[in-house]
Amino acid sequence: MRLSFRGGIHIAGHKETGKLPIEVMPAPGIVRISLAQHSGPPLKATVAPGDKICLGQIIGMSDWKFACPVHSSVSGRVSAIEKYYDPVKAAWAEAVIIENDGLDTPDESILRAQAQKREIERLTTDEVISILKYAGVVGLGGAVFPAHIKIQNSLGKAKTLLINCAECEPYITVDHRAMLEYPEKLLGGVDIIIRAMGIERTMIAVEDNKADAAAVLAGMTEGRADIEVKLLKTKYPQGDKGMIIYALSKTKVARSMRLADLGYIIFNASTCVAIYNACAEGMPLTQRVVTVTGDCIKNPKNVLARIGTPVADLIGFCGGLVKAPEKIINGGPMMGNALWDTNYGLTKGMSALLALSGRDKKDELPACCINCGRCVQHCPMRLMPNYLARLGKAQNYDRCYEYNVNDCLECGVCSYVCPGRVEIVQYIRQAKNALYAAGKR
Amino acid sequence: MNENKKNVVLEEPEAKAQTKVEPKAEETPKISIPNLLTVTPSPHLRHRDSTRTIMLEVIFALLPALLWGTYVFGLRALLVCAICAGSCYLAEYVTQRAMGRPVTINDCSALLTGLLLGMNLPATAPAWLAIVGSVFAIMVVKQLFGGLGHNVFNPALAARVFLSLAWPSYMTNFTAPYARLLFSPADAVATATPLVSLKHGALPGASLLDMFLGNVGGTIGEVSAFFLLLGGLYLLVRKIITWHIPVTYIGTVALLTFAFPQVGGVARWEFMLYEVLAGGLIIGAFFMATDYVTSPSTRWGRMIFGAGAGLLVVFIRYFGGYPEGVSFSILVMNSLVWYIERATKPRVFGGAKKNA
Repeated sequence: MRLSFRGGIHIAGHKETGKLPIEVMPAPGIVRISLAQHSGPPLKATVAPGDKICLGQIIGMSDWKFACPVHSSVSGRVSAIEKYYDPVKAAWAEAVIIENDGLDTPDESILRAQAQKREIERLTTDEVISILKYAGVVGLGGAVFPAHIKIQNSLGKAKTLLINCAECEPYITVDHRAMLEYPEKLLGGVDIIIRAMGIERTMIAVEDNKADAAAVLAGMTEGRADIEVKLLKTKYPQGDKGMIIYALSKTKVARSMRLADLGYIIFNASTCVAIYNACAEGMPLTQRVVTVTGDCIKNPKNVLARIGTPVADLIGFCGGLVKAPEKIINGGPMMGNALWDTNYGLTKGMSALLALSGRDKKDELPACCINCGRCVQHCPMRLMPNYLARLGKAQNYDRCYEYNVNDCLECGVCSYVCPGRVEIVQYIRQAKNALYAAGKR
Repeated sequence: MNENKKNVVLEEPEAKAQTKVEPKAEETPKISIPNLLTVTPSPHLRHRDSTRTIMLEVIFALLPALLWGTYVFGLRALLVCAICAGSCYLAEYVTQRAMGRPVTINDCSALLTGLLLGMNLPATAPAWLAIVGSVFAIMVVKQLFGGLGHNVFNPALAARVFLSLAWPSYMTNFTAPYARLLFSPADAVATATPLVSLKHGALPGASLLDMFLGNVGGTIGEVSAFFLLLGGLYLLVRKIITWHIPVTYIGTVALLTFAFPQVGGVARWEFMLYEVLAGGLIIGAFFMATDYVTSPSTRWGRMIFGAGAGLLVVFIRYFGGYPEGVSFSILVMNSLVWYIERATKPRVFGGAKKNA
C-alpha cells in the first residue's frame, strides 16, 4: 500500500518542466516588489521615491508582531511606491518600484553577515530565529507563513520535522528541481532546523512521481538514523498538512488543532533551501525559483528570478507566448489566483506562473448541481460540498456552519470533479467570509 | 533620444513591407499578453466529465439492452423508445421556453429520461401513451419541481407509475418474446410475465437461462439481465455510478427472497434467482435507483437507499396488490433522500472544528 489518504483525486500532472534544470534569469530593468508577501497585514514602505538603495536592503516592515521584512532584490533607485489591489490577499497593498542600476551593490548588512563567516553548526536557536526574521524567510509553498514565527511557536513542542516535497499541484516543479539541484542546501536547511529545535525524527515526504529526487535525498541521508525519505502516492491534495500527516502516520489532524501541539513542524522543500541560504550565506530572500509554464508559454522553464520581476518579463524570458492566454495564474491551477493584469511582480509565494488558454465554452451549460456526489466522494475533509454550495448560494450561512464549512481546505477538488461546473469553492469562500465577519470561526 | 525615435519611425514601414513580401518561415508572430484577462475563482482546471458526457455515457450503457429489446419484440420497441426520447426532448425545450428558463436540452438529460421511460413500456404501447408519459415526466415531474437537479422523483419512473395507474391495460399488455412487432401492435400475442406467475405462487415457465438472457415477456428494456448487467458494469468501470446502490438493492432482495421463499417444492436459491431476474429489478438497480438527482450523495446514504428499496420491493411483491414493486420502491426512497443524506453526513476528517 502506497502511503496516502482517503478522498482527493489524481490530476494530470503537466510536470514536463520537472526535467528542465533551473535557469537563472538576469535581473530585469525594473522590479516591482509587493509589500504584501507574507501572511498577515501588508507592510509599510521604509523607503521613499528617489532613494538610492542597495541589494538586500530592507524596503518594507511593520511593527506587527509576526511581521517579516521585504528586501530590495536589486540595487538602484526607488522610482515610485504604488498602491495596488493584491489578488492573493484581496486587499489594497503597496508595491515598491525600483529602477535597477545593474550593479547589484550589496547592502552593508549582507557584507557584515558575510564577514562574520558564521559557522552554521554553532548557531544558537535565538540566532537562527533572528537570522530568518531579518532575512525575510517565509514558507515558499504558497502559504507564506514567516519561518521564524513557525519555529518560535513550535519550540519545545515539535519533535518531528516533516519536509513537504509532495508538490501535489499540477504544473509546479519548483520543489522537484530544488531536490535534484540543491540537495546539499536542502539537507543543510534541514540540519539547521533540527539543531535549532532539537528535532528527534525527520521525514522527507515525496510524491512518487518524483522518485528520482527521492532517490537522491535517500542516497545522501544514508546512515542518518533520524532522517527518512518516504514516498507518497501521487494524488491531490497530498501536500496539505493534514493529508501528509495522515499518509505518514495515520493520525487524523483536525483543522482546529495546531501541529506543534501534536509534535509536528512542517517545512516545504524550497523553504529549507532558503533557510540554508539565509544562515550560511547571509543572503536575505531576494530571489526564488518559479515554474513558468502552461500551454500558452513557448518554452516552459524553471526560472530563478529576483523577487519583483514583472510577470511580463518572466513570460518574455520563457520565449513569450504561442497563443493568447485566457488566464494568467499566480500559483498552481488548483489553488492559485488568476491575475487581472500583468502589473504584478514575482512574490515570495509565487511557486508557478501559468498562462493557460481557455476551455472550449461552446457547449457550456449554466452551472447546475445534479447531486452526483462526486464532491462528497472526493472531499479529503469529508465535507458535503454539494450542500455547502447549495446553502451558500441561498446565503444560508448558519446552515453552512452546521455543515462544517470552516473545516474546508479550499483545495478545489470539489469544483474540479463537478460535472455540473458549479463553483463550489467560491460559494464556500463566501460563506466563510460571511461567518468570519459575523464572528463565527 | 529624439533622433532614435525618428529612426525607429523611419525603419518601421520598411520592415513591415519586407515581411509582407517575404514572410520568414522561422519567425513566429509575437503574441502580446491580452489586455483583458479572465479572472475566475480557483480551481482553474476541470475534470473532463460534464453533465452532458455523463448522460451520454448512461445512454450508451443502455444501448445493449435496447438492442436486445428490439431484437425480441421487433422494430416497434425501438419506435416506442424513439417516440419517448423525441417527445421528452421537445417537451423540455417547450417547457423551458414557456417558463423563461435557459434552454438546457444540450445536457441530454431529457433524452436519457425519454429512453428510460421507453424501455419501461411494453412494446405494444400506443404512440399517444408514450407521448403523454414523456410530457408528464418532463413537464410535471422535472420542470415543475425546478428542472434538472431539483426534481424529487425520478421522472421516467414517476411517468411509468402514472401511466400504469391511468391506463393499466395498455401498460400490462405484454407480448411473448420473438413476436417481432413491426409498426402495429395488432398481431401481438399476449403473455404473462414471470412476475405474474410468481405472484400466483408458481415458478414461471421460462428457464433461469431464458430469464437471464431475456427470452421472456416484459417491458422493452427490462427483460435481459445479461445486457443490463453489461451496461451496468460499464457504468461502474467508468465510475459513473458507484457499487453501493445496485449491490445493496439487489442484495437485499436476494437475501429476503432466499430467507423467505414463497413457492414450495423448489430450492431456495432457485426461487431467489427467479425473483432477482424477474421484472425490472436489474434495470431499476443500475439505471433508475442510481439516478444522481434522486439518490443520496453519501456512501452510507446510498447503502441505506438501496437496502430500503430492496426491502420495499419484496414487501410489495409478497404482500402488495401489484406483481411488481421496483418503481414504487424507488419512488418511495426518492422522497426520503434528503433525510437519508442528513442522517448520513460523513464525519469530518479529524473531527469538526469546535465552536470558537
